[in-house]
Amino acid sequence: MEILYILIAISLGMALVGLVSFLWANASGQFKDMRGPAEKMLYEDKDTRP
Amino acid sequence: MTHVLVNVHTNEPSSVVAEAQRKCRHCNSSMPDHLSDEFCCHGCRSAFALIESFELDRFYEIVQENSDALRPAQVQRLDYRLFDNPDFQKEFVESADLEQQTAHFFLDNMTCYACVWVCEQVTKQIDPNARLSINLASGEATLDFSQGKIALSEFLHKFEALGYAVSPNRDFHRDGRSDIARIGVALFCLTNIMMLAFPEYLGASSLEDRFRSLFRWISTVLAAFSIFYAGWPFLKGAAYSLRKREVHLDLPIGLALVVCFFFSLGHTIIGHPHVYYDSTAAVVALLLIGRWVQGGALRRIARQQSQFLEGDYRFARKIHEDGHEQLQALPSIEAGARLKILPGELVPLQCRLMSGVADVNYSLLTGESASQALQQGDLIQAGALNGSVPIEVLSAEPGFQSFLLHLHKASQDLYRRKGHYLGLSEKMAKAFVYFVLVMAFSVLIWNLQFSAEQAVTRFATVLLIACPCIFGFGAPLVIARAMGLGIQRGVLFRSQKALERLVLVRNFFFDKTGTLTEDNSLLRQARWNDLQLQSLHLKADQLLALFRILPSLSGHHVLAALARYAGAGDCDRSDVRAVHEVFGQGFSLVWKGFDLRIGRANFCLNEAIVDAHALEFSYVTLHGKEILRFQLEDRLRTDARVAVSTLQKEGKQLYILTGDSSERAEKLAISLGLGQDQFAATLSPQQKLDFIATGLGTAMVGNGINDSLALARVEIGIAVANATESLKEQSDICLLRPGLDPLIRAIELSASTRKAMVRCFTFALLFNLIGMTLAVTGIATPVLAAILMPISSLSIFAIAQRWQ
Repeated sequence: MEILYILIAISLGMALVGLVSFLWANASGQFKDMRGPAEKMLYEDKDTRP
Repeated sequence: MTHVLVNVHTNEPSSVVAEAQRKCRHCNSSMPDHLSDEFCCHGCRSAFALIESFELDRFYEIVQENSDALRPAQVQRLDYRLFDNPDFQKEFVESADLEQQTAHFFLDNMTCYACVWVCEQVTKQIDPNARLSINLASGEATLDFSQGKIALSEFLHKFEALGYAVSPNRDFHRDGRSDIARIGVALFCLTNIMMLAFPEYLGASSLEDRFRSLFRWISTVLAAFSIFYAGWPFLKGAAYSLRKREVHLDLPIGLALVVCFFFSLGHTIIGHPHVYYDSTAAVVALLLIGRWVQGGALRRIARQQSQFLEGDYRFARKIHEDGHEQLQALPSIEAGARLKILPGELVPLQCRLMSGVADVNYSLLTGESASQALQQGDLIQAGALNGSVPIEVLSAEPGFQSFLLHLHKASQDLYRRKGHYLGLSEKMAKAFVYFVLVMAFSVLIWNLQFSAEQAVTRFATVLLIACPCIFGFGAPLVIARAMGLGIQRGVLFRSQKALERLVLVRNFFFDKTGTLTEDNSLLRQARWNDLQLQSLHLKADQLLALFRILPSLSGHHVLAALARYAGAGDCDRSDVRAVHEVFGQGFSLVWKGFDLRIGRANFCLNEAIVDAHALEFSYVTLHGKEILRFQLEDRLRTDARVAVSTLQKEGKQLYILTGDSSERAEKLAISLGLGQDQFAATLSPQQKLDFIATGLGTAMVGNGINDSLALARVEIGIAVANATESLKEQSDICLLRPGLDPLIRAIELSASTRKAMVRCFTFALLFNLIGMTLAVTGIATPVLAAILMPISSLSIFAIAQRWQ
């Protein structure tokens, strides 16, 4: 059962990585606009007019 | 520049489209048959021209969803020069330095990325250094620009011409990110605590003691993180509530969180089997999510609300030295400025009357509808409603001191606070909090005689099992959802009362002109009396030139109809004095020394009326002599008939109240299928009021200032989309789309809101009754309470969110 110590540590560690990356994404404003950037990338490269 | 007309929705070539139905080149909506044009309206034509002039034709390639939403408004909503006013800018513009400013505003009607793109490109072309960024999801926009080079209004005018109306974003400092971070943390803690608690759910014996103790200590850390970081708003609220000695929902929530945490901590230390970290973390997460959803909905509503009131009393019509009039932001008006106030408008600040006489009333402030006659030099208070004459005033205080601005700010603040809409449920919540606290503490004290542990256990059980969710987020979510649905369906509910009670209304009173009929009525059977004109040495053209300026004197529909009849041409701005409106009768004014009257026969004509036929006409007279007679043609709103029959089917009583003649009222009533007793004509505003005998169970639908008295009397006042600003201000419900169809939607919505509320309350009541009984008698253990509590929260959440 000693394996539990390691497993718990791993699972908590993984969850923590998830939480930290969520907090980072949130702090850098990635959840601010859920639509614009998704559509923007479809047109961006054509923005330069001939 | 060639622009191939392509249906961008399907990318079919134009020939196919043309065969099916002609579409507007800008908004792609199908065109009425009688238009031979390429555009459905003037707004679309100018938007198209603007886009072409900037060489931004690619807009039509990337636009995905072109529909009516793309169609720009035909009249400009605001004079955006106001947005250049430094005082006004304080509310939504940040200046980094003299060179660089950042404006925060909302752009309406953002439908897809094409809208964002075209606005960004236009900005770039106006000033290559300016940068516009738009949040497509929320419509929030920020513009970095340089005030010294190009005025803000230059940009905003272009946006509106493209069909994107602008309103300032005063709330730009608010950052939703910390709310989301808290929810993330709360969910992280909850899921991990539940994972660690899982063996305990299966039974105590399935785990060795050392692991159990380890799991508990890890849970303790996670729960502390959840409660003291994610749950901080509740603790803060509870502390605030204690400090202010005000009962608030956060109090039992905060108390339960703290008690449960320390109770569990104590049990963890002494190794007692029962800990409640999982349920505490669940409560935190669910409550946070509930409040977040609710906050977003309320902010959307507040924004809609502020858009409505933007054009009204926040601005004043200033008369400059050279005589020209300009709308200016109220805060920038200095004391001693000359202002003009049209009939039906609010007096924006304390001022002195300059022009002759006036009548005003304070019905918006006091509910007292009797109008007061004023003489030159009299003081008028801010918030008075100007009666029948356009007046000129001298401001007696600087605009920023105006009582109305304070009022406006106070009501804005109220909308930001969640409690504003929650009259009934807020009261019940208070009672509930008292009840729970009294119960919990009496259980604590009573059980102390048996054992301290039993006392604390039951105390915690009561606090935990008592589910405040219905008040905490159930009722607010139902209301927020209803208001959100309302806006989608073209209705703005301005109070919770209106939403809750509209469905109970039995008697509906309708104003006729502008409400049941289009307000742009047309002149019919207009006949000039040429003999009279010749004898007075006048030409019809001179009167037509006068007609064109009439709408600037009053917003009355007859004047508008005369102006429409006159069409485009020269305007006569000279020599119009002493304009006076007699409600329900007509207008009198002095023009070139003539006593000119517009209105009913008995008001205008000197001679006694001999034939009844003559009564059906309205007149323009000079010194009591007929110059022009005409009838106004009512054009019934296209959806009026359907709306009326729908309401009748539901057993509502409908009445038409109008200041117009009985013939016209009767004709309209018959065409709507209403009986003889269901209309009343030639009513003054006071008579309209008297007709509505009792306030309860009544609603009045109106559009003009002449309906304001009646609107104040009824239980629920409804302003149609084209109503005057002050009527909207006074109403409980504003219809956002033209026509009466939104009214039907509003009633349906009110009915389903009530149903959803009742469902929520019934569930919560049953749950709490059973739960409390179990908790007080000690049948329920805290574990059971902890399991039941999130279940009940989730059920309430589901009930509140899932209804149509």
